[in-house]
Amino acid sequence: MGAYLARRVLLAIPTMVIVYTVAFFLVHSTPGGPWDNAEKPLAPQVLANLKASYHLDQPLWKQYVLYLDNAVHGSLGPSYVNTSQDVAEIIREFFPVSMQLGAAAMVFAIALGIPLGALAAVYRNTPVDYVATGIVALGISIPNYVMATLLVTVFAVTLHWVPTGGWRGLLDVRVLIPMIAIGLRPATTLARYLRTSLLEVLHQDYIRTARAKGLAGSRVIIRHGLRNALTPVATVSGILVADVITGSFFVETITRVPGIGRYFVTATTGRDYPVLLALALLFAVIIITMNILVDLSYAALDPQVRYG
Amino acid sequence: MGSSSLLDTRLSAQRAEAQRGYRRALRRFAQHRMAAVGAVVLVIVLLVAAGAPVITPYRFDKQDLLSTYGPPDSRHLVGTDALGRDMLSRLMFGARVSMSVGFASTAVVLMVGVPTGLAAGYFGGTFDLLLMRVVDIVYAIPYLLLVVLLQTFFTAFLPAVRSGPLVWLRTLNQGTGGVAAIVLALSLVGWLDVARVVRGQALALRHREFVQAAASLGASDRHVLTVHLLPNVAAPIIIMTTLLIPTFIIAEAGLSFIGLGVQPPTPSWGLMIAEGVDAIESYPLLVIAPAVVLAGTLLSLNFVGDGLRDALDPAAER
Repeated sequence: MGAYLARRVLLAIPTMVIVYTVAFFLVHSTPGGPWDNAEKPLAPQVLANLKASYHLDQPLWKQYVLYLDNAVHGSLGPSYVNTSQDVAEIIREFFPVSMQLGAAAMVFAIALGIPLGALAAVYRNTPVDYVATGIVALGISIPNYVMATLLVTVFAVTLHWVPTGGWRGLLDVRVLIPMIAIGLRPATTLARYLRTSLLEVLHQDYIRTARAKGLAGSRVIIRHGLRNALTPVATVSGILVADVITGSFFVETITRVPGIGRYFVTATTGRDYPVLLALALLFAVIIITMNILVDLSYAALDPQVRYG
Repeated sequence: MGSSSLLDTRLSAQRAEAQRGYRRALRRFAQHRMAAVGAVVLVIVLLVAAGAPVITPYRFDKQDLLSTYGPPDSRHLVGTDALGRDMLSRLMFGARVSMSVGFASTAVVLMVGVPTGLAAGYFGGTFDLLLMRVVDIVYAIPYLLLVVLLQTFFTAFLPAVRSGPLVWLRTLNQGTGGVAAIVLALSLVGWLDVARVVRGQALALRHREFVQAAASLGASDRHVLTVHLLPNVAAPIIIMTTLLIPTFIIAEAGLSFIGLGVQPPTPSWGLMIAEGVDAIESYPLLVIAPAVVLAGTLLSLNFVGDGLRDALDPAAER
């Protein structure tokens, strides 16, 4: 397992380098910047000084190496827009909020998706299944920003059950709307995959054996069925994390959660390219790490899997 | 002569069988009630999208600053927005943006992805390895994140193009209110997914007897690819199409929502949601109307997709 982990981490390095290269050149070939102001152009001397202070006057390959060197040593450079903080500080300040919200959304997704998928498979082609597949259809086809706006209009504006937005930590009611809006799509993705996978498993001989030896129905489904059905479902966890990350862009903006997703959106409109670059890299690191963790979790779910 | 007429009979029998197959698929689709409802809704949205310049009661950018935030009445059936623009007209033009992005991007990714995937799966080799490596890397980045980066680049880059081979793209982009850039950004990443799926199918078909037989009878690669492989990947491609269109529509509305999509005053459902969010506490209709229209369209697409999947792939377990 240790050797396998080491190999996976080593394999992730070239992927990261390529992600960095693409993102770097994309960001640096984008013309213009936050200092372009058609109405009040900066003096050429000021502009030159700004460029020098951000190393923008140096050749591109030098900037490429310099940024990589700094990034490896934990410094992600200054922000163009927010001059009082560098990018690493911005991430430290805004990321934890998104991390908490993202974790809550994942927990919500699992807590809703697994029972939903299991019920749909067990009560296949009954009203229970139809309700479950109906919820899945809603979750799959309605994007998170639509879900967030609808939830805010119904539960905050009309019913006044919760405030329209803001953030006071995980234990405040304000977490509910963004959590549901971000988590619903991952939940329904999980449910859909689990339903298919569990239907397949429930036809297996060992399930019939388990039933034949007199085990209670729920025990058969949970211990023999779910456990085996979850392994293929685990492969989609990477997609779920990507969903949660991109969901945070929109939902944090709508519900005014001061997280990194909302910061990312302001950075795109404010043309804060160093922030864009750093966040793109951060998100890629999260996804790659998650994919490695998922592969490792196979061993826990399926004893047949051994890593050499 | 005898053998050729025998071949003719067999061909026409094959054609009749294929037709029966289509009819059976059509009947299965029609029996799928939600799919039929979805198809009707979709046709209406498409008609509205196509006819928007003619049938809308007002122009999408006609302002009436004396009646802003107007409630629905006989003049403005869905009310007016913050600038007194008719919401119904804007919703109808928004359908135009959503539909053109959805269908145009899908067409582009299929045109690029299907041949690439077929070739990679059938020939294998270095090209295949390279393609799969690129797919692996792109999968490490969330789709929407990559598209946001590309769109950040395009929205700054395209207007700055003054000369050179890309001028037509700039003109097209201006003429379509930014739709061309969105289609470009969505397709640049999206075709890889199509190529991956088609490649997998082609790989599986490559060793089947009928492909081997055609190849050993001396059929050219081109013949094998177009006559034997392409028809056999048609069903998965159609099913994939029903998933691609909503993905692109969601992405366009998302981009427009964060200000990287269509250029105002061109209305897009995503842009309208973003504009409506500012007034959500005082005048929620502004955000509800585009949200419901977008959700309804996407749900219809989803049902149509389900129906097609059942019709084309009856073996799949439900």
